[in-house]
Amino acid sequence: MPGAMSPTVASARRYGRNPYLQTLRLIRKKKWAYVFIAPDILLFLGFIVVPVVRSFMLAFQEFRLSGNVWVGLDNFKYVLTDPVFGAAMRNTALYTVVMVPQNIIVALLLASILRHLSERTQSLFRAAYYLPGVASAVVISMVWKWIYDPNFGLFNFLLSRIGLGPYPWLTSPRTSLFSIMLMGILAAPGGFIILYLAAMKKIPRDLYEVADIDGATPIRKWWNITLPLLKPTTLYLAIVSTIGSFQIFTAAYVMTQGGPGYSTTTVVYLIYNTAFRDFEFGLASAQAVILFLVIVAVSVFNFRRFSTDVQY
Amino acid sequence: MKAGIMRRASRVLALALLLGGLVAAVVPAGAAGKWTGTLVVWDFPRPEAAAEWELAAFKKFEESHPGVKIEYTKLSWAGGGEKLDVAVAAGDPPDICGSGLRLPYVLQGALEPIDPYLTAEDLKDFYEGSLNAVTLNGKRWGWPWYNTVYTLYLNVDLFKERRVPLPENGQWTWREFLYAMQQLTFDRDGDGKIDVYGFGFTIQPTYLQPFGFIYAEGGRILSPDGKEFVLDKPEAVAGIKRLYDMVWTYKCALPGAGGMTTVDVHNAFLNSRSIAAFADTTGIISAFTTHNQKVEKGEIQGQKINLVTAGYPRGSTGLPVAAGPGVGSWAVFKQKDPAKRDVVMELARFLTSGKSQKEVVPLIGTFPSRKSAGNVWAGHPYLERVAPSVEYAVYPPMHPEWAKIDEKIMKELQLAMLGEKTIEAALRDAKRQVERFLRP
Amino acid sequence: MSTNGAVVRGKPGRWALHRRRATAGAVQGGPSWRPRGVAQWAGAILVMTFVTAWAVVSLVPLVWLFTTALTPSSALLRIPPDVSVRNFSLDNFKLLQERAPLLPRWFLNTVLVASAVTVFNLFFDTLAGYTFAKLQFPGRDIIFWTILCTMMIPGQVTLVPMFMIVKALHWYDSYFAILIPAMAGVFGIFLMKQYIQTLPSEIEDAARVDGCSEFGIWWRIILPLCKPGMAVLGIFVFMAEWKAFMWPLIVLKTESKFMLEQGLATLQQQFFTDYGLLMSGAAFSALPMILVFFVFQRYLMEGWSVGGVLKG
Repeated sequence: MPGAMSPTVASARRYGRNPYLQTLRLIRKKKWAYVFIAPDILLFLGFIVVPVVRSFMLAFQEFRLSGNVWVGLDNFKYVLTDPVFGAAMRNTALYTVVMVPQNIIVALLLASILRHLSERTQSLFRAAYYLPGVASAVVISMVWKWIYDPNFGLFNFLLSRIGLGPYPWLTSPRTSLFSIMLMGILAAPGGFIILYLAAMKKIPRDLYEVADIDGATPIRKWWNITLPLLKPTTLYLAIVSTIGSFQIFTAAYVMTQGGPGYSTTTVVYLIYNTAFRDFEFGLASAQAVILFLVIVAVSVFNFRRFSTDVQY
Repeated sequence: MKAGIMRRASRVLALALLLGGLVAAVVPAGAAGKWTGTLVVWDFPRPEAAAEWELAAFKKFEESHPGVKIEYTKLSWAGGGEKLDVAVAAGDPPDICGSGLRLPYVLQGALEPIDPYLTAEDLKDFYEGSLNAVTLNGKRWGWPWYNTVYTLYLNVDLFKERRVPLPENGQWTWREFLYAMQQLTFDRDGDGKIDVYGFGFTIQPTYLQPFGFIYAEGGRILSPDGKEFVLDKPEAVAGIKRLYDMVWTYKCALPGAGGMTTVDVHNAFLNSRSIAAFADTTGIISAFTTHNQKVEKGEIQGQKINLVTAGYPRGSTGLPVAAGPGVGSWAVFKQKDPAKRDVVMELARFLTSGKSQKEVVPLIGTFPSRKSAGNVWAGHPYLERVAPSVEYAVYPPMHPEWAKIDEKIMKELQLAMLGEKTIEAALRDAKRQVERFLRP
Repeated sequence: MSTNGAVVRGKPGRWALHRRRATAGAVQGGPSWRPRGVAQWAGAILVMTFVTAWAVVSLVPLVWLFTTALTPSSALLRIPPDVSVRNFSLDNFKLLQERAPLLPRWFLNTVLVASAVTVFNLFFDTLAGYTFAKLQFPGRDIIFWTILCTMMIPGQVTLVPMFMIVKALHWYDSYFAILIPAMAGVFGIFLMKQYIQTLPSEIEDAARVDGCSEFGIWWRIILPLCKPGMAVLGIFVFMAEWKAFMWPLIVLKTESKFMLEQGLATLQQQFFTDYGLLMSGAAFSALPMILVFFVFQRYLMEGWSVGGVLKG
C-alpha cells in the first residue's frame, strides 16, 4: 500500500475528482502541518490518549488486580442511581454556572479598565491581581478556613463588631457551598486578566481611530470593536474555566471534606474518594466519563456561542 | 527448509535456557537455603525516635541475613496513601509496608495472609483484639505492631484557671464530666462572647473519637457478625444524645461540631487554646511532647501545653470503654517467590516481635499488641492510666464495605449535630443507606 | 499604586499628566479616552477606587502568607493572630532550612525541571498553535478537538495508567517521567491557537510569496508577533510545573531528586500543622514564581507593528 502511494499522488491531477486522491494530494501539499504537530501528537498518544482510553475501558470494567472483568453498563447504572453522585453533580454544576460567567465577566471588565492605564500602573495592577495565584491552593484554602472559622474566624470577628453573626460559613449545609464560591469570587481572576490584556494588545489602533472619526462613544467602541475581537480569547477562557470549575477539588478536600452532609461534595472529590479510598477504579472511571460527557456538552455549547473566524 | 532449522535451533536454545534457569533457581536456594536480593520496604513517617529505631532495625536485619538488602522509602503523610494506592493498583507494590493493611487491598488479593507464618506461641502472645483487628474473611492480613486507642486530653491550665478539679486518676462519670465541661465554658474578657468551650469534637468519616461516648453507653455501630445496623438501638441513641446535648442543650462544646474538620479541633486545643478537652489517639502525645520541647529550645516562642489524659466518662455500662482507630500493622504484599516471601515474613515478624514492640511502641505513643512486650507505660504520667481501657477498646468493624458504611453514617450524624435533622431521622436515613452494604 | 492614590484623592492634575504619558508611551491597541466633564471624572474615580479596592482584597491571602511566614509561631497561636511588623523575623525560614537540609537541592531540581518544561512548551505549543490556527490541512479539526477533549477527563483516573507507562519505560525515579509527558500541553496549544488565529494572514501570505518556508514564517513572523501570548503561556506553564505535587510524588522516590512541593510535604506532621514551617515553605516556594512573573511581564506588554516585522 505505501509503495503504491507515490505514483498515485503523482497522477493525482489526472484523477483529481476522486475525493480520496484529493485528500492524499492535500496531505502531501500540507506535509509541513503534520511535521509541526508531530511531536505533540506523539506525546499525546503516549501520555494522554493511552491513559484516557484505558480509563474509558475501565468504566465498563470492574477493577481487579488479577485482571479486570467486563461488566457492561453496571458501573454507569450504579453511578447514575447513586444519590450522592446526583448531589455532587448538582453542587458542581451550580459552582460552574456561577463561577465561569463571573470570572470571565469580571476579568473582561477589569482588563478593559486596566488597559487605559499607563504601563507602570498597569503592571502594578497585573501583579496585584495575578500574584495571589502563586500560593499553593492548599495553603490558600487553609487561610480561608481560618477566615471562615465559626467561632474565632476573621469574618465572624468583623461581623460581631457590627453586632451581627455568628454566621455558619462552612458549618451549615445551607451555606457551605456558597462560602466556597465566595472565596473564588473575592479572589480576582488574575490569570484571565493578564490573558485579556495580552489579547487586547493585538487589537490594531486604527480600528478605534476610525470609530473615533465616526464619533462612536467609548462604550460603543468597546461593544463593537473590543468585544468581538476578543472572542477567541473568551472562547479559550470559557472552555478552560469550564473544565477547571467542573474539576474543582482542593477547596472541598481541604476545607470541608465534602461536608456537612454532602453539601460541598463535588464530582472530582467523589471520584477521588471512589478511586483512592474505595479502590474502585472502574466506578471512578464511570464517574469521570459522565463528567467528561457533561464537560464536552458544555464546551460544544461554548464553542458555538463564542467561535468566530475573526481577523483584524 | 531454512525456517525449519531455525525453529528447531530455537527450540533447543529455549530448552537449554529453561534448564539453565531451573538450575540457577534451584541450586543457590538449595545451597544457601535462603533467598537473597533487595526487599522494598515502605512506611509512613513515624515520630523521629521511632524512625531511627526502624533504620537501626533494618540494618540489624540486613546483618543477620547476608545477601538481603533493604531499600527503604519513607512516605509522606500528605499524598503517601495515594502513592501506595497507585503502586498497588499498577501491580507494583513494595514488598512490605507499615500501616499498609487496607481492606480494599485484602479484597483485591494484593496482600499475603500471615496465618501460615503464625506459630502457636504467636497466637498465644498477640492480644485477641489485636488479631481480630487484622482479620477479614477468616484470615489475618497484617502483623499487629501496636494498638491505638483514643483518650481525652485535658488542658490543665484551663482547669486551674476555672478551679475545676481534674478527674481522679482520669476516671469520671458522665455527670462529673458534664459539670466540668460546663464550668470550663466561659467568657474570659466579659465581651459577651464565649472565649473557651469545655469540649471540642468533630464528626468526620474515619474519625471515631466521639464514639467513645456511644460505646460507653453500650452502643455499637454494627452487630458483632457485621450483618445488622445497631446504631439506632436505644443505648447507642443515648450516647449520640449526649454529644448532641453538649452542643445544643448545655452549650459546653464547640458549636459547629458537624461541620468542622479535625484540623479545627486540633487548632482549638493547641493553638488558640479555646477548648479545654478533646479526644484523640494516644499517638498524638509525641506531637505535644515535641511542641513543648520546641518551646523549651526556643524554636517557637509559644506557650508550653500542660496537659493530662483522662478516660471517656463512664456511661451506664460503668466500664472504662474507649474507642480506637484500630491496630497498626505491617502488611506483606503478594510474593511470587515463596523463598522471598519467607524472608519478608521474617522481617515482619522481627519488626513486630515482643522485644521490638517493647522498644518502639513507647516511641510511637501507642500500646503493644503482644503480651510479651509487657506493660510499656508503667509509671508514665499520661499513658499508664489509659492502659486499662485498651482491654475494652472498641475498634471499627472489619467489614469489607466499612469505608462506605462509615461515610454514610457520619454524613447523617453531621446533619443531626448541626440541628438540620433530628437524631431519629438521621439514624433512619443512615440505616436505609447502610443496609445496602450489609446485605449483598 | 501611588498614582491611583492620586486619582482616588481626586487630584486631576496628576491624573491628566499620567494619561498623557500613557498615550505617549503607547502601546498599540489602547483606544484613546480621557475623562471630560464632572460626570466622567466622578465615574473614573469611582471605577479606580473599585479596581484598587479589589486588588487589595485579592492580595490579602498572599500578604497573609508572607506575614505568617515572617512571624514566629508564637504570634500565630492566638486567633486572630498577632501579626505586626514589629514581630517579623526569619526564624521560620531558619527552622525550615534546619528541618529540610535538602531544600536547596529540591529548589535547584525544580528550577531546572520547570525551566526545561517551560522552554519546550513555548516551542511546541506555539508551533502547534500556529499550525492549528493558520494552516489548512485534512483532519485538522478532528485532531485538535480530540486532544482538547482529553483534558476533560480528571487526572485522578488517569494516574494509574500513566504510572504503568512510566514504569514500562523504566522512567521510575527519573526526571524523564516528569519532563517528557509535560513537554507540550493541551491548554498551551489551545491558548496559542486562539492567540495566533487573530493575527492578520496578509503578512504570512506575503512572506510565502517571497519564498519563505513554513518554518521560517513561524519563526520569523509569527513568533515575534505573539510575544505577549507567549509571555502568558510561559507564566502559566512555569507556575503549573513549579507547583506540581502529586505526579512527582508518585514517580520519584529518591529524596535528593524530589521536586520542591513534594519535598515540602515531607515536613508535614501527622497530627498538628506547624503553621510557621508550612507558611515559610509556601513563601519560599512562591518567591521564584513572583520573580518569573516579573521577568515575563516585560514581554506581556510588547506590542507589535506590522511595519517593523516586515522590515526585520
